[in-house]
Amino acid sequence: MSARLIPGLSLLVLLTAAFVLACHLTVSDAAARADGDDAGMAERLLGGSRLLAGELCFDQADLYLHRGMPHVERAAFTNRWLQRLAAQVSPPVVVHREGVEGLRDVLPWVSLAARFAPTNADFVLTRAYLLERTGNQAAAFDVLRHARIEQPQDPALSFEEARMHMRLGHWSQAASLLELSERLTGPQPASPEWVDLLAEVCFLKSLLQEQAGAIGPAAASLARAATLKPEWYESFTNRVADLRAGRPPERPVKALLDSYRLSAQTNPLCHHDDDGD
Amino acid sequence: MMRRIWAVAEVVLRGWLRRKEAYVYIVLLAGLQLAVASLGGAAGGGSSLYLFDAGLLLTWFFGWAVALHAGAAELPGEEAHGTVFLLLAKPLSRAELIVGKWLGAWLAVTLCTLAFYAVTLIVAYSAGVAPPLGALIQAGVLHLISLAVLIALSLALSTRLNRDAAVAVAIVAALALYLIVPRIPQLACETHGWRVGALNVLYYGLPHLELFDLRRRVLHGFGPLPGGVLATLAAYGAVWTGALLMAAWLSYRRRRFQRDRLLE
Repeated sequence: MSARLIPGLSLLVLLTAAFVLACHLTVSDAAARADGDDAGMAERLLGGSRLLAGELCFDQADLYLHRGMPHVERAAFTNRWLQRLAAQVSPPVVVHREGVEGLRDVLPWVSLAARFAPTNADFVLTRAYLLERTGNQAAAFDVLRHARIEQPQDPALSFEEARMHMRLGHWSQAASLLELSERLTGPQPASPEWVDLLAEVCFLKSLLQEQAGAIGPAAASLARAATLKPEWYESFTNRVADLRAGRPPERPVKALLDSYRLSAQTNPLCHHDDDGD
Repeated sequence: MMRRIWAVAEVVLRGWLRRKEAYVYIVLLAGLQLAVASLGGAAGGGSSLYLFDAGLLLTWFFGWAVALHAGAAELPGEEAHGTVFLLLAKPLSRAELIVGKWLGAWLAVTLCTLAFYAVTLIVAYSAGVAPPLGALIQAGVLHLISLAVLIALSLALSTRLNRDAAVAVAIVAALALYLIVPRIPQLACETHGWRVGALNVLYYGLPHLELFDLRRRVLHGFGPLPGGVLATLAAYGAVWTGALLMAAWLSYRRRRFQRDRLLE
């Protein structure tokens, strides 16, 4: 056996320690710089490798969600002896981790991804969602508030925080965060994603306005949502007409808010079909 | 014959125990796992399964690294010190020397790897993870079989290359076998004609190290393998180990050594 292995492995340990230290530094550094333009300590030390580590951890979270089953790829040949043996070693079945315990297993990978790459809104939003689903609402709010300090111009963060408040029935906080999100999106959204986001902001805002008795603004917000998202137009037109005419809409606002809270319980992490994607 | 093989293996094992390198590897492994665990605060509210996952991955990586070095170091070491002449002067065939070296290196690496598993288990239990022991024991057994294949591979390479070259080629080969060979069916989709046939030959003609990796079963709750599958995998590993040792013997049996050139 060769003692030459020791320097290499020691270097690996030192690199890992430096990486971990840099990730710890990022967290404290982020709070110190509110403008978000200056490069963080970890960025100066490790550059893009930290972001790559974040991506890897997020991929690992996806793998955990599917209980270790990678995405299926097209193969030139299947069902060979060795492939059958490999399938017995690692069953190629698409199964999800379920329940709170399953999400607790996924959460650390997403948390690590968000820690390595705190400026990636997807990681932060997924982390907040998982924390909320695993019953840690306070931590979820902390994550979103911290992310808003890190990226004050991202409307998705305030929108997610607003949705969390809505799910908990904190209407006034939700309303002010929706306002903020709308302001950050601006009158001319910069991308198709932001158009969708603004449509959702307008929809939720209209529900809150309707609940507060501000029927006119509620109708205006809903009409704007329908304009921004054409596929909603048909279903919202009647409601807008009812509100403007002072008639009670087909579905009361309380029912809509309840169904919204229920729909938030579905799993938004996984968007594939269960037929082998 | 077995006595002579065991005598060689015992010398390898004793030499390894005397050098006390394993302690350093164990401390490094524990250090890495603690570094990963120090990020645990980030997991807030999550389980510690990720820590066990990282521990198993590191155990795999360390086991492979030690095995590839152990296999490649033995024969070039004897040549560099000139002790190969003493060995070959004894009533010991070259086949016995090869098998003895392989067995000694495998036993040494097995002890080292079991210590790695112990560290990983201690870290996992202290973090509140309760690994499924049945699947974990099978994973450990198959890991040791994969190490036997890798030691035979690096030993075979070291019959013609010096130690550093043998280690470098063995590392590249092991990574390719683990990462690329299982993806040959997918890669074959991108090609046509005779190349598909060639990829088919490679698919069957190269060892599949991924078959010995049971980490998914351990981590994601798929339970232990059926006994028949485990026996098939053990036989597959034994066949590849035997084939690589045979290649090592074929390469080494007529090799000539010149004292003045070896000790230069």
